[in-house]
Amino acid sequence: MSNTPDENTEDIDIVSDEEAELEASEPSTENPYLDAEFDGVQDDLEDDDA
Amino acid sequence: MPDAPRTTKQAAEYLRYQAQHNIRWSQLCLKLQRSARGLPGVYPSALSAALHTPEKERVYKVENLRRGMVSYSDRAGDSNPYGHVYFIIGRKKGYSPGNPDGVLTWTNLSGGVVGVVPLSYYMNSWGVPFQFGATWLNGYDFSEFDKAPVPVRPSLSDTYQHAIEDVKKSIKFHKDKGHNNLVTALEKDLERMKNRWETWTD
Repeated sequence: MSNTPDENTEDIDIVSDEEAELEASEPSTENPYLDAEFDGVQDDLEDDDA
Repeated sequence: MPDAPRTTKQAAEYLRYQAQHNIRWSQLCLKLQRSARGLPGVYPSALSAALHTPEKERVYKVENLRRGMVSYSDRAGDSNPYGHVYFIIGRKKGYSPGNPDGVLTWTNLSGGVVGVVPLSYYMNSWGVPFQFGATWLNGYDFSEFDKAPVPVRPSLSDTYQHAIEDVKKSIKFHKDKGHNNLVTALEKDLERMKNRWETWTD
């Protein structure tokens, strides 16, 4: 019996190389939710652009 | 209303499209995540969405996070009582399951830009710790990741009315505990939810 892993059992939670390349190299460290103008709305409950 | 609830694969594609087309989601983390899943708006903030996530749908250990979950980070007592919600993409090769450096997430960043950052980013850059991941958002269950989310209640109206009642109960609970910042934030959320309900029922 072969011990070669079946590709169908590959861990679906491992990101693809393509996804891994999307990781931001130097993302802004600014927290937008500490902005003085942030009014607490994280969903305006409008669905027109969803 | 969004066209239809989306699978994990479709949600990830939606988020990638936002990033590739430089579509801005300034401070609208919850709207971004529920739109990715094709869900209707229910809660106005990640705080309300997190507080009312059923306990059985929560995952508190980083090693148990799965691709397609939403996840929350928040620091109690900081100047943002509303927290933050983002999407779990999965793990990078070569990282142990419990290492937050190895878990990638889709999120909206400063300026509304949508991008990919590791789970550790929220603590290291924003100072807000991981709270939990979940297979539930806005009254929809997506524990079957390759299928579209399913509503827990029979109608959006029912979901919304229960959500309003749940926020009222949370306000009372946190008032009794003396959590004044949380109460203020939840009262704002409740007002927005009630205003929206009135526009539906007028």
